[in-house]
Amino acid sequence: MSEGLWVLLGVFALAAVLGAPLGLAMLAAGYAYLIATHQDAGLVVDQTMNGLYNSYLLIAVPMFIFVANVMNVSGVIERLLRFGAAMVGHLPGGLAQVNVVTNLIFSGMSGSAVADASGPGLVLARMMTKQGNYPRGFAAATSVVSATLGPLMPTSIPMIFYALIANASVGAMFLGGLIPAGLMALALMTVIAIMARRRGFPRETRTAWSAMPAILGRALLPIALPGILLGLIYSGVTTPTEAAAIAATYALLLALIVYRTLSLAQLLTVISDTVRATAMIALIMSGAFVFNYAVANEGVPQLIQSTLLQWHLSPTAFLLCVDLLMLLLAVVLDEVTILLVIVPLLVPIAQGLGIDLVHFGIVVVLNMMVGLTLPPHGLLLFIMSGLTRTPLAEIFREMPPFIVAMLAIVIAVTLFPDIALWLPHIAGLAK
Amino acid sequence: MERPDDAPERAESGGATLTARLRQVANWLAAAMFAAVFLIFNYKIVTRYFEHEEAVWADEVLVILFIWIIFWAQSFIVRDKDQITFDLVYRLLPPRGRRAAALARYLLIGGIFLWSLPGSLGYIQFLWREHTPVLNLPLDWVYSCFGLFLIAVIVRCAFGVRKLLGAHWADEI
Repeated sequence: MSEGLWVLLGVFALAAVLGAPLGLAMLAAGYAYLIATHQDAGLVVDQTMNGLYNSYLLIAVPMFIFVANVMNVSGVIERLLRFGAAMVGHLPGGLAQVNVVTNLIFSGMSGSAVADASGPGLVLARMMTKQGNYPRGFAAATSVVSATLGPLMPTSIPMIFYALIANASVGAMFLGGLIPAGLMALALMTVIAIMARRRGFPRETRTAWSAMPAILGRALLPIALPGILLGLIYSGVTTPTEAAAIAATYALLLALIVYRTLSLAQLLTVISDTVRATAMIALIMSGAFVFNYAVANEGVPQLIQSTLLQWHLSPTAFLLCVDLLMLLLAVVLDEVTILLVIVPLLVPIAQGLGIDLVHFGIVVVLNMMVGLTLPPHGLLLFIMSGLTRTPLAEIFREMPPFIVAMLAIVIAVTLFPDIALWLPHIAGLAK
Repeated sequence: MERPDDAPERAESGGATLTARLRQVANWLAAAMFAAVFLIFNYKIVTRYFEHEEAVWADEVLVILFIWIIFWAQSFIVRDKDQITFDLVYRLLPPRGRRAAALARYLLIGGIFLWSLPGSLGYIQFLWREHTPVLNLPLDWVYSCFGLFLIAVIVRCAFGVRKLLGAHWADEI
């Protein structure tokens, strides 16, 4: 390793460990690298600004964050929750099942696991513990694992990042996530049913068939959003970025005019929150542009590629290694950093091995989401622990059966590309 | 009777309200830029499908607003504690350890940014000769938000160091 690379990694690691924002740590490391290698500091400006300027697709990110925030404050969660309860509330562990299903539907709007955990996840964890039928650790754990469904469904922010890095079709990525998300939901619901039987968690009363149309009617407009979005992208009526803007307009009209649950003051708060979240994510993107420049300048991608080629890995073995790497990384780094710094190194290798880049992307996103739930440092665990004031240890204790189920899905999607590629294939978006 | 050491505290709280007000103004401006992004997107789609006209300027304005929102918010709105951090180690430290870590962090980041500031600003200034493709806007103006951001980070680090060395250091960790 050259001196410059040591400086880059050393400054980044030091700043990060000292608690600096990761984006700032990457920018500072980039600057330190340029100083150490006697290059012009202006390269940071060049990489960052040109990188952002040429990533039109990224404007979809604030739009999706806005959709999630609008939905969060405008009472949509309550509508979805009733719908979820009518569908699966009568199964063993009723409210926990509702948690999974509501997240699956809501995730079609937010596209961010963190938004899901702090939206429907928090509401349901509170409902589960309020009745005293569920231990608080189990309630929080259910919300943690349910939140992983979000980024597998359309409007997924991580998938937008991946599409940008790998030059993959956003439409194909969105379609490809649907079946894995469905399987993941089924796996989680099965675990809940088994645990509910063993530990005597209650079922909710079955909703009468006559009440179903009204409940569906109340939830229909928000549920339709992902479908509208996919329709716009596939029909070619709009670009994915414009589709995101239409989704934002739809959510706003729904909350302001149809439901009349969003006041102007709330709208301002929502915009403010959106701006802040966008800036936070974009800072990491900026840092990643600089970091990736330095890493590429040092020939690291070629080094990793030649090392891996020497191992003569089969595509399957490579994907399993990626599974392991992603899960380990997700425990220490946040998803945006992994996607923007680590994944670009792996994409050319996957391509060289003949792995379909949509399949690879789904595997990567799936792993990162599962990684967010792994003790001891998975981000979602901390978010739920903080929001529900449940000690981490109580949540950790409930995680093992869920983790086994989620890993089973990860391995299934890794080994059988068709799970991810079947729908994009039918839509003519994959080979 | 007023104690003499009240004075700096009062000055500090006056400074705090001023900062809060400025932050509020910055917030409004960011919200206005976001609203503009939203409206331009809709305008673009509507004109394309109902008037069969492609608003070519729209994409350029959208991207410029996008980068301005990012660095404007990073300069004046987002606080360090809102940011995405790797706090596995920092969180475990006792208060004094955090103080030392925060001090080292501000000096490291602020120092590197300060060192690189002239080169970065020079590069931005140099871009006056380049223009955006559609609206022909000078690129030094478009990219100046990054310079603003660099200066804001350096100033924030300096204030952070000052606070950590003062009596109220516990508020800063």
